[in-house]
Amino acid sequence: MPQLKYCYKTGVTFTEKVYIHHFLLRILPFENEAQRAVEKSRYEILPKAKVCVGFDAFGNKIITGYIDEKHDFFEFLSEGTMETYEYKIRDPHLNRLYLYPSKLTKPAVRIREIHDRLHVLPEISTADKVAAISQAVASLLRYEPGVTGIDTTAEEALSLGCGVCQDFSHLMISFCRLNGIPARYAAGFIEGEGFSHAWVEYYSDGWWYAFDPTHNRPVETAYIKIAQGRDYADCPLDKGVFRGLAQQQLDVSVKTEQ
Amino acid sequence: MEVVMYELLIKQRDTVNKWMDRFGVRFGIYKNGVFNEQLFPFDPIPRIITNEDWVEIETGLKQRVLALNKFLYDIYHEKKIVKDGVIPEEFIYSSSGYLPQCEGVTPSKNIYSHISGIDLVQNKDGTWYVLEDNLRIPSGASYPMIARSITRKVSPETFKTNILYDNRNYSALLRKTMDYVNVDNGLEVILTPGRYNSAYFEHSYLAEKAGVLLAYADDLIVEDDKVYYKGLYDKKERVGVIYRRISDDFLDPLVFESGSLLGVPNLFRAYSEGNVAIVNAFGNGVADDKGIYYFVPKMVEYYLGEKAILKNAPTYLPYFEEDQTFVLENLSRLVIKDVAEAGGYGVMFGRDMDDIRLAEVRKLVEIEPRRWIAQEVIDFIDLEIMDGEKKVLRKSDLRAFVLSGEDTMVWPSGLTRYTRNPHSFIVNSSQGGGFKDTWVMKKQ
Repeated sequence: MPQLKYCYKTGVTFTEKVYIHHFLLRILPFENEAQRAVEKSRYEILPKAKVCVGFDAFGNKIITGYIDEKHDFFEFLSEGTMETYEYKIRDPHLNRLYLYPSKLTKPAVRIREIHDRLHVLPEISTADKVAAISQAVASLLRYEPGVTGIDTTAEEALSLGCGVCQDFSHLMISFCRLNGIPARYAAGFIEGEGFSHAWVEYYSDGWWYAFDPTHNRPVETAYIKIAQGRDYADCPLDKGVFRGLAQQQLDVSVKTEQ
Repeated sequence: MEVVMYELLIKQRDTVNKWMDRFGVRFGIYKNGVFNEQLFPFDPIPRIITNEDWVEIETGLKQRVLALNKFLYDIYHEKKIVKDGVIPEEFIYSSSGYLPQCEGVTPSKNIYSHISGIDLVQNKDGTWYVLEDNLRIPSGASYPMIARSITRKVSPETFKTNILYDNRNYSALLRKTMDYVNVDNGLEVILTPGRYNSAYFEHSYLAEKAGVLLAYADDLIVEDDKVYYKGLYDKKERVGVIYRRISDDFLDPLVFESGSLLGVPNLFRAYSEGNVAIVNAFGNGVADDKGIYYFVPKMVEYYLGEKAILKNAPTYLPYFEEDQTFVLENLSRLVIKDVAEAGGYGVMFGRDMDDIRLAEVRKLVEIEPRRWIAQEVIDFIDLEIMDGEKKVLRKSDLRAFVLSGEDTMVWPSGLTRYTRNPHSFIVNSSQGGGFKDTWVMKKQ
């Protein structure tokens, strides 16, 4: 089974000192049938902050914290080694929430029109349906960074005809749910990419499986999941609020290697 | 029938209005993007509720709010009412007020709706109907409270001859409710978005009368999953209960709307760890959605095993095929409401629509049946108001306030709102209506 070493690091520098800085991070990997930590994951936050670790209602590990003192940089790092197995997660109690539209995946006129033309055959397997949906998404969206943002809805991305992994995933989730397939948004790391990645998990017969619409391929192994939700808005990797007038510069890197 | 004397109040109304102005009894309205504060027009003729009517209303309201609180607990835990097929799951998961973040979170003392504003109207045959439940941030109690304080001062004779319940105890009921849910005996605060909020008068008035702190988001910080008041001092003080006047969406920028400057970061975390009580709780919108309203009498039966005492206005849900057929056929005499809207917006009367508009609305209902409810138009009673020196009749409703703490208490008064436009049926204060004091008579 592939072992993946990962190191996710984000550094923010502020042009002026900021203070009363609250943050909420989702940077720790899930532990489940598809991924196990070989050694305990490690994280670090600078400047030193008072933090609390817990879970949110979507099952994500969260780190919340607060820095009172003035500071001009903020840095967090998460690293470890995960052993990954076949991407298949047991869940006997489906949360039926994942069958219904969420804010960023809610279908409007265009998604509904295309859905009507898709003709996903009801008799084929869920895996085949999902593959057909991903194929459709691949023909509707072109990969292009910088056009869409974190608030872009699936419907908007479809109108623009392009987007990044987040948009591909939202559009795919929207189609899945219209087809009665429970689907959720997953974020984490894959080998080789310098950024975090997003993909789709879908539910079938008591198990969650995954599909990567950006690469238009089923997820078999070697994906490390760190966050999940109905869509991006439920599970951003990091969010922060501080006081002070400052421009911020963000530097994100993900290193993953076998 | 008891004879109630309020003629003096009409004579003394100029004095009363002067005091209202001096106390800043105002209501803010945004129109075309501009914020305007205006006096909330006060009519001197009180609405009178007989003791007989009140006994029924009070019992009915307690029952209804108890069931709504049980519903909220159930929805964010086991969802038995959905599993038992009483409410379709779509009405939960598609509701904009449903917050999945609240799943499994139990608020202090298990109370979700501490302050419930239930809007009622009285039909011409005397029957009271519930039009709407407001379980998020129902506002308005401060207005009859201050009106009573002023009228009692200006016209003490009036209150000597009439035997009615005092309503100046609202702040005491509020305080009792906050005390009951307070976590670790911390500070009690009212969290206001500030003076550009339509109900800022109310926030500051209630804080003063209840003897709790009026706080702005900047005053509160979350550390170690606990909330502290910083205010003007360097010393931090633990906060045990927050009566927030900021909606869920803006209350924690790290969990909900990121752009919000009104909220307190990581407040949701402190709340879900049980370290602070939030009045009213997060996620109550799922229970006062106009679609869920239809199911409230069923909730009363389901959770309490009793028949609902207070009636809903006859309501149809186009979501159910049978109802949809009925609604499409009878649209011209029904009122259609968008479940996602509030404040009197998204309300359309069939009788005001021409054939083209009716056809458009029929189409809207067919495309998104879940988005609409249809109701029979209730011919509710008119109340007298003073228009210059003349008494004229206007439509009005009653917002009753129910406080849920150790006991469920109904405030013996309420906000009576009336339309200023003689042809309008919409009494919401966002739409420019006025208000009256509400007199609940004691048993003679």
